[in-house]
Amino acid sequence: MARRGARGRARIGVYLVEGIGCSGCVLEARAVLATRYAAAGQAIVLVGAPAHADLLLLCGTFPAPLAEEVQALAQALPEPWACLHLGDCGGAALFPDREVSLPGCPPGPEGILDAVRAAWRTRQKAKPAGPAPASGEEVP
Amino acid sequence: MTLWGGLIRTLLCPGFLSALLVGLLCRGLTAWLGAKLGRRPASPAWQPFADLFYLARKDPWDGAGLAAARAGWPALLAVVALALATGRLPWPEKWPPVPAELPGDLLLYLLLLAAPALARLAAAGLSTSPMVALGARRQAPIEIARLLPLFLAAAALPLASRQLGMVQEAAPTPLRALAAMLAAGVFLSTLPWPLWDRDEYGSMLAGLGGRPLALFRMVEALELSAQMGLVAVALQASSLLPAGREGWAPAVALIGTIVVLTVLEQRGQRLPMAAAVRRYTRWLLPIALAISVLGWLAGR
Repeated sequence: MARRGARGRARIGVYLVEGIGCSGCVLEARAVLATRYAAAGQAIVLVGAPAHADLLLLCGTFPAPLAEEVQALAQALPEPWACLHLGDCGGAALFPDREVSLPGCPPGPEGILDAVRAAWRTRQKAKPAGPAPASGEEVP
Repeated sequence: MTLWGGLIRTLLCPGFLSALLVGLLCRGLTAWLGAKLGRRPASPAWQPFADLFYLARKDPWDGAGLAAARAGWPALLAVVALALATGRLPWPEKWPPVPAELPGDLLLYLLLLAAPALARLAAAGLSTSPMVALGARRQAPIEIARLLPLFLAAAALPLASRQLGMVQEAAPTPLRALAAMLAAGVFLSTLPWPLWDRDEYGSMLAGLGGRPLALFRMVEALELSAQMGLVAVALQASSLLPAGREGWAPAVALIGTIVVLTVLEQRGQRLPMAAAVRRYTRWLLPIALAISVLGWLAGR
């Protein structure tokens, strides 16, 4: 837990959105990100407003009406931003051009922190006018 | 000197730049120290610099249309107000261009210290979001409650020395030294950082992202430095520093600020809203009133 993954970089603000499911991902993500102890040392923090976020963290599945709401909410994230979808029950990508998924029911805390950083790197790579990341790309 | 010339000179003056650097470093150092003392993984001390530069590069949130752009203006005005305030500090010594002292510097400084709170409330008022309105409604009492003991304790300095300048040159007496030291204690007790750690504060700025938010982060750093400057002014007025070493006052104020904020950071306790307001109004306000009375007695 005490790894030095993001030292010296800007803080990654994570905005968590809970979909439909068993809430295992939400509990796991909150457990690892909501404390100021573990994630703060790696410059990853949960934020309370989408406008303050750099990464949208989706947990569970999002049926059509809910997906539309999340897509509307995502407009409040200032560019550039990334999206990480947790869980085995994710289904189709809500944001195919920038979404990274992490399977697991629920994924482990180390995996979540690694995936946040991996999604963040994807966002950085996707910023120049190059090829977009593959839809629903999975983090190993 | 023209108005624009004066503004540019103030913004480029070492007082402003050093206030920004010291404010950001103080936040980073405090978070690092608090984490280390609590045996937690720590962000590096330069984390606030990285955050600020990154936020400044981000686009503003365009979902709010004009409201987001307008909300940047109060922050910009607060930056200018705090630049003017920190430009009046008599430190760093012998480093031109230190502005010449004016007779009413201390009053001007105190008035400008209120600018950040007003800017935050004004920015929230420009937003149409109900979340922001709720945050502002809950945050406003604590912002105002913090300023009341601060201003009242600051009144002790001119009352004791019969001077309104930033450098209080009256002959030291024990009563005057005591009033100034106690005022410095109140200034340290009303440091603004604990307010920024509250959910209500985040909610009040929820409509801002990217560059407007970076401006508010800059305001926070400057506000912290400006209050540190006030602590240094009180320390200098107390005449307790060794003769010829009055220039140590800002360094002592910086250390005091880091110690106070590290303790708060390590405790990591957020008081409920009513308790936080009560802390200012029920405890610090009477103490500040007593200090100003003490200052008045010392100046008689």
